[in-house]
Amino acid sequence: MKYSRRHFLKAAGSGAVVLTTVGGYRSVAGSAASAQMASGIPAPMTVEIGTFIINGATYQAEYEARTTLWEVIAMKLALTGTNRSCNRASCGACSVLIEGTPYYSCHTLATEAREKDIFTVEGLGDADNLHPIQAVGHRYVAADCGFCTPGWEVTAKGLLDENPDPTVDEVKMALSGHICRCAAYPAIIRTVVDAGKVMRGEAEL
Amino acid sequence: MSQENGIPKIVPTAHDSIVINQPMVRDYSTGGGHGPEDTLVEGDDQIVTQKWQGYPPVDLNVVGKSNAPLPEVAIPRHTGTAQYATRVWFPDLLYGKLLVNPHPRARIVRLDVSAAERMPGVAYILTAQNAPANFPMSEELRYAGEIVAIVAAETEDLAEDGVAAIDVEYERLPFAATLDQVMMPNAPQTRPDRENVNQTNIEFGDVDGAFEAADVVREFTYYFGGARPIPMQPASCVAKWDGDQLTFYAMGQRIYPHRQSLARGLGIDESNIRFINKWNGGTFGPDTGSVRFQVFISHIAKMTGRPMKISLPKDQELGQMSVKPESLTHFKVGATSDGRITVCQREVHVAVGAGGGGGGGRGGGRSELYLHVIPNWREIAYNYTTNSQLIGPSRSNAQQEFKFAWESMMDEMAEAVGMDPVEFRLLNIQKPGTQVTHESGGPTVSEMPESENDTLTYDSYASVEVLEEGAKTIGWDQRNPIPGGNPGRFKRGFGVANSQHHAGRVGYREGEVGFERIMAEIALSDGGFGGGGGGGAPFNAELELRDDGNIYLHFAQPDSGTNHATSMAALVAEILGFTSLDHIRAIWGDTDLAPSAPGWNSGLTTQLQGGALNAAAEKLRNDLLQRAGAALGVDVAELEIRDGVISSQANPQNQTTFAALARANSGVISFPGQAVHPGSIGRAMNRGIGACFAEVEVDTWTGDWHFVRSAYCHDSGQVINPLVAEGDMTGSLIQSFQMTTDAIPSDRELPGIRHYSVGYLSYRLPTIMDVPDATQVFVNSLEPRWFYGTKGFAETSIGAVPGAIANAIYNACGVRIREHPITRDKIMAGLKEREAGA
Amino acid sequence: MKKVSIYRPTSMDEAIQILTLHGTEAGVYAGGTDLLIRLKNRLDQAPSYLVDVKGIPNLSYIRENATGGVDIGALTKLSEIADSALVGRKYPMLIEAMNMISSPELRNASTLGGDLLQEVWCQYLRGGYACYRNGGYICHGAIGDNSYYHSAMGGRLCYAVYPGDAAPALIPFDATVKLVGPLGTKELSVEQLVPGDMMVDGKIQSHVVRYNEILTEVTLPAPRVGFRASFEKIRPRGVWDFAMASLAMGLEMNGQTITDSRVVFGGIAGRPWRERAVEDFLRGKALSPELALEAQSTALTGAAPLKYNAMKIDMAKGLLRSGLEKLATA
Repeated sequence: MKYSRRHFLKAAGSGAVVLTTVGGYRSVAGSAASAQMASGIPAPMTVEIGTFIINGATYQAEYEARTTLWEVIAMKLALTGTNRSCNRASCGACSVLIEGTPYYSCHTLATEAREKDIFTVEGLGDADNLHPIQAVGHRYVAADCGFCTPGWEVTAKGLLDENPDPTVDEVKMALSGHICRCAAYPAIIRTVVDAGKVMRGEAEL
Repeated sequence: MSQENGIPKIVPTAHDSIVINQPMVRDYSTGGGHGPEDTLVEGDDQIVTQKWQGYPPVDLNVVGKSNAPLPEVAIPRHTGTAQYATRVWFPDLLYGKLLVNPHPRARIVRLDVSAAERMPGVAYILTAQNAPANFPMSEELRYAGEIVAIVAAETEDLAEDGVAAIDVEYERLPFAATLDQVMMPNAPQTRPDRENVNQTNIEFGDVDGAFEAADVVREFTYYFGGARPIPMQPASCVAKWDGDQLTFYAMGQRIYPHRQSLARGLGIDESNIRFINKWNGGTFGPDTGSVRFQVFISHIAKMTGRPMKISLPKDQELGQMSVKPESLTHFKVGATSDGRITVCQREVHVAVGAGGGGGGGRGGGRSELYLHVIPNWREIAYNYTTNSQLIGPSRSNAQQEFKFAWESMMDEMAEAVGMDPVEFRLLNIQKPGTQVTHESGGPTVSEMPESENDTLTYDSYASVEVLEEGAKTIGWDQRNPIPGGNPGRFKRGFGVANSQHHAGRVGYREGEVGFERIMAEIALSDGGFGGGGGGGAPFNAELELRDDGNIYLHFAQPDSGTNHATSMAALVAEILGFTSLDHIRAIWGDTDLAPSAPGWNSGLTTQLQGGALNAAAEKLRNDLLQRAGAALGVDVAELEIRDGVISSQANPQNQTTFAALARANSGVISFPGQAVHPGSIGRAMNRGIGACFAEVEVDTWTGDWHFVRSAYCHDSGQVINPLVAEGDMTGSLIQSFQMTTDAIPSDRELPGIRHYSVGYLSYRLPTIMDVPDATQVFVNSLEPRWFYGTKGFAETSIGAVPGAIANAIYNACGVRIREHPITRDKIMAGLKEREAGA
Repeated sequence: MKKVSIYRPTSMDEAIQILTLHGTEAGVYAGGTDLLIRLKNRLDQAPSYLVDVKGIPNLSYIRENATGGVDIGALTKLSEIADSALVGRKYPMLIEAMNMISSPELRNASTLGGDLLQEVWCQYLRGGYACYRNGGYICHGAIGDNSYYHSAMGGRLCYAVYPGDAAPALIPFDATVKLVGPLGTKELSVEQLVPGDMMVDGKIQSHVVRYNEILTEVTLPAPRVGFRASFEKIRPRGVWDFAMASLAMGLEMNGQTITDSRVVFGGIAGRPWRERAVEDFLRGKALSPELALEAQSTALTGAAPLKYNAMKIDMAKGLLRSGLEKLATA
C-alpha cells in the first residue's frame, strides 16, 4: 500500500482548517486535529485532494475521508458509466478494476484508490468501438435492464486479461460477486466464454 | 455461434429454448371471440378460422427470428451510457436523502429542523410544514418508511448529516402491521378513516350441494409472506428547472401518466414538463408509488433553483415502491373419485397495507378460475388495511402470491384422489372451446364487442400442450411418485404448477371491431390515463419514414430491459416488408419526442403500444403502395414490397424505394396509430397459460436444497424473437424463484424496514451460483386475432414457479411447505418431523 | 456514511498511540468491508476515527515458519490466502473455507484480521436499532426474528451468532494469533480470541481485542501426520451469505482410528462452537458411517434455541454426519 504524508497534511495545517470544495460546501477540521498536535501525532485526514488515473486519464478531485470511490468517479468526476445499486457491497454493479483487480467501488474509500490505475466501463469500449465482451453480449442479450452490466463487464475483462480461455466454472466463480436481477446469467456466461474466443481469434463477430 | 468458412461466427440465437409449432389449421369451432364478419371454413378435416387480420404467420422474415436487440436501446447498456435517472448529472446537482418514519404507526408531535438547516452543505429541508399545497406531506404516519422529511444538500453524505440532525419526536400509535396482528380480535383500527376489514363474497353453482355429493373433500391452509421485485436501479429521479419549465428524469413504466401526476402535484400545466425516461435498471411493476417523491424532489429543485437528484437506499425503497401482500388462504375442495374437481371454497385473508390500493389489493385475481374448471365456487375474501407498505404490482399482479396456494392445493388434491399431478391437471384444466360464463367460472367476464350470447370462449389456449411438452422436456417419467421415495441422502424430486394471466391479447387497435366502441366510451370519461396503464386513454404512436429510407418508431414506453422496442420493431418491419431490423429506429421515452400513451404493464406492451405502431404501419404500407403505384404506373395489387424497395411483380426493374418516395414528399412520410385497452369495459378472453416444471435436490441430512432444473412452458403464440424471449423468461423464472424463497417484508415480530438495510443481504437475490438449468418451451399457439399469431406472455407462466418448487420439494423429500417462503430451516423441520413420524 | 477522519500511522507504536488517544471512538481500518457498512448505516457504535493500519510495514504475508507451520499477516487478503499454493499444500481445507466467504471482490478487499474480528450481522444491529452493541439495553434478536443471525446455543446479552468463517476454519488447526498492545505482544488461540459476546472496554463485542490492541498475525502450526479436515457451510445462496450453520472439522487419524479431533460449528452460537462432547466421543473410535450417526446423538445436547432457530441445531448435526462421512472417504 503506497501512501505519502502530503495527502493528509493538507487537512492539518492549522487547528481549524476551513476548506471549500468544488460543490461549495464547507467543512471544518475541528478540535480533534488540535488535540493530536499536542501529542505529536499528525492530524487525521478529513478532506483531501487526490489524483485518480481512470482509464489512463488523470483526474483530480477533492473529497471527504468518508467519500467512496464510486462517489468520486460518478458524482465528482461525472464518469457515470459505473452504476451503484445496493451501496452495501452486495451486488457488484459498481465494480471497477484497481490495478487490474476487481473491487466494489461503492465499498472502497476513494482515498484507497489515489494514484492507482482504475479501469471502468468507459475504458472498455464505446458504441463505435465495442470490446468483444460488449459486442458478444449484445448479440446474446447478456444485458436486459443493463444496470449490472458495467460491473460484470469490467470484472470479466479482468478475468480474460488474466485467463484468456476460462471454463464455464471459472467464469461462474469469477462473476459470482455480481447479481443480475434480470437473471441473464446463462447469456453472461456464454458471452464471457465466447468473447474470449473472439479475443483469441477463434471466433469472429 | 454458427460455423461458416471455418471460423465460428457469433450470431444472435436462442440457446436453451424449444419452440413447439402448432399447425395453423386448428379447431376453432367453438366460435367464441370471433367477429361477426368472420367465416368458418373447412380444411384438413378441421375447422379453421379465417381471421388473420390480413397478417397470417406465413413467409415471415423478421417475426419468429432471433435478432439482437435494437442497437440504440441495447448498446448503451453495454457501454455505460444508457441514461438511467441515476446517471443524469449536472455540475450543480443537489442530492436528496429521506428521513422516514421508523414506526409502524405514529404521529409527529415535534419536528425541529433548525439544527439540520445549519449543517454544512444543507440547501433545503422539506417537511409537512412546507410541502407543496397541492401535495401535502402527512404528519399522521400509517406505516414504517413514510417520508417525514427530505434534505437536499451538496453531497449525499452531507444530506444524511442533515437528516441525522433533524430533531423529531413521534407519538407512537397502536398498530397492526402484519396479517397476524390485524387478524387478532383486539387489533386496533389501523386507519382512522377506514374499517380494518373489508369482506367480499362471490358464489356460483350449488356449493353446499356439491360438497355433499363429492367423493373426496379436503381442506388446506397456506400462507404467503409477501414479496418484492427489487430492481437493481435504486428508486431515483432528477428534476431540473429552467424558469417555469421542468425537465424531469424518472424511473418507471410510464411517462405521460407520471407527468400528469407530477403536474397535478405541482399545480402546473403538463405542457410545462418535459418528462424523460428512456432506460430503467429494471422496474418490475411497483413504480406507481414513486410519484410521491417525484413531486417533492421537483418542488425542492424549484425552491432552491438547483437541479436535484435522489437515489434511495434499498431499505427506504420498501416504503416507496409497492410490495406483494401477505395472505392466508384456506381451501375446502371437493372432487369425484375419478379426480374431477366439482367444488371449491376459498377463504382468503389479505393484508393490503396502509394504502389499500393497487390491483393486488383484491382477494386474489381469481384468474385461477380461468385455469381450472370449477363448476361450484365460493370465495370469501377479507382485505385488511394494515400499517405496512403499499401493495401493488410486483413482477405480476396477484399471481405468485395466490398461485402458490392454489397450485400447492392442486398437488395435494391430486394426491388425495390418487392421481399423477400432471394427469390431474390435464383433467381439470380449461381447454380450448370452453365457454367462459359466470356458471363455468368466469366471474369477471363482462360483455365484449366480440362476445357472443354473453360468453367468451378460449380458443388459442395451449393448456394441454404446456403440460404435455413440459413433462416431456423435464423428463417427468423419471419422477418417483412416492414422496421422498428415492434412496440416499440427496433426493431429487419433480414438481409442476400452472399459471394463467391477463397477458395475451387484451386490447384493440385502430380499424378493428370494437376499437371505435371503446374509444367512444373513453370519450365520456375524465381523460385520465387510468390505473396501472389500462382502461384509460389510448396508446398513441407515430411512424415516420425519412428520406434515409429508415423507419422511425415514436412511442412513449420506457425500457426496463424488456426489449419491447425490438419486438415492436420486428412487427413493423414485417408489415413493411423488411427482412431485417436494419432500417428500423426507435425514438422513445420522452414527452417531447413521443406521442402520449398510458404506461406499460402485464405483458401487454407489444399488443397495445405495438398495436398502435402496427396500425400506423398498415397505413404507411398502404400509402407507400399507393404512391409507388402512381409513380410506377402499376396497379397496387401488382406491386411487391421488400427491404425498402417497391417493385412491379411483373417487371422487377420497374421499381422505386421508400427513400425516394419520402424524398418526393418533403423528406418525410408519417402516420399516427392508436390502440386501446378496454379497461373497465372488459377484457378480451385470449389469455395465455403457462406451466413450470421444476426439479430440485434436497439434502435430507441438512435441509439444504437446490433448484436444479426447470422446463418453463409458455403458451406464447408466435414468438416474435426467441433470443429475447428466452432472456425474458429466464428472468421471469428466476424472479419468481426468488419470491418463492425470500418473503418481504418478513419480520412478524418487529415490523419495519430499517432492518433491511444491508442491500442484497437483506433481499437475497439469486446469484449465478444458484440458478437452475432452464429450458424455455414456447408453444406457438398462433393467436388468430393478432398480427402473425402473436400474443403477450410476459406474465403468463410467472405465477407457476412457487407452486412448482413447493411441489418438487414435496416430491423429493416428502416435506410439504404450506408456509411461504421456502427455506432450508423449514425443510429441515419437515424432515425431522417425518423422521419422528416414521 | 457517518463522518470520519482517517489516521495513517506508519508504525505499530504510532497506531497504538492513536487508538489509545481516542479510546473506543477509534477503530482499526484495514479492508473496511464490515466497517464501511456500519459507517454507511450510521451506527452509533461505529468509530469516528479510523486508524488505517495498511501503512504499517510487514503486516501482509504468507510464509512458512521455522517449525514447518505457516504465519499469515493480519492484513493478508482473503483472496491471497485462497490463492496461496503454500496454504493449499499444507491446509487445503482453509482454501475451501476462504472461497466460501462473501464474494470474490470482497475477498480481494477483506483481510484475515478483519474477518476474524468482524461485527455480528444481526439485522437489528445493522439496521441501527439501539441494542446492547449499539448503545441500548435490549437484544432485539432474542425477541424478534432470530431465524438466521441468532444463537441457538444460548447467549448472555447479545444473542447474535458469531458470523465469520475464518475463525471456525482455523480452530481445527490449533491456530493462534498475536495481538500487539501498549505493553507488548500477546499470543492467544483463535478460540480464546473470539469467546462470544463480551463486555470489553465498555462495549459488547465478540472478541477480546482491547481498544488499543491490534491483531497482527495468525499462526498455523505444522500440519499433523494423519490429519484430515473438512469445512461445510449451509447458506441461503452460493455467494455472499453467512452460515446458517457450518462445520469445520479436523480428525487426526492413526489408520482408521481417530486419535484426536476438533469439531467446530459456525453460525449457531455467539462464538465458533467447539463441541468437545463429540471430540471426546470420537477419540479412539474407528471412523465409519455408523459412527457418524452415533456422533450425531452426542452433539449439541446443550442447545437452547430461540423461537425461530431450532433448525440450526439439526442442520449442524446434519453437517456433522456429512463431515464425518466425507472424512471417512477422504
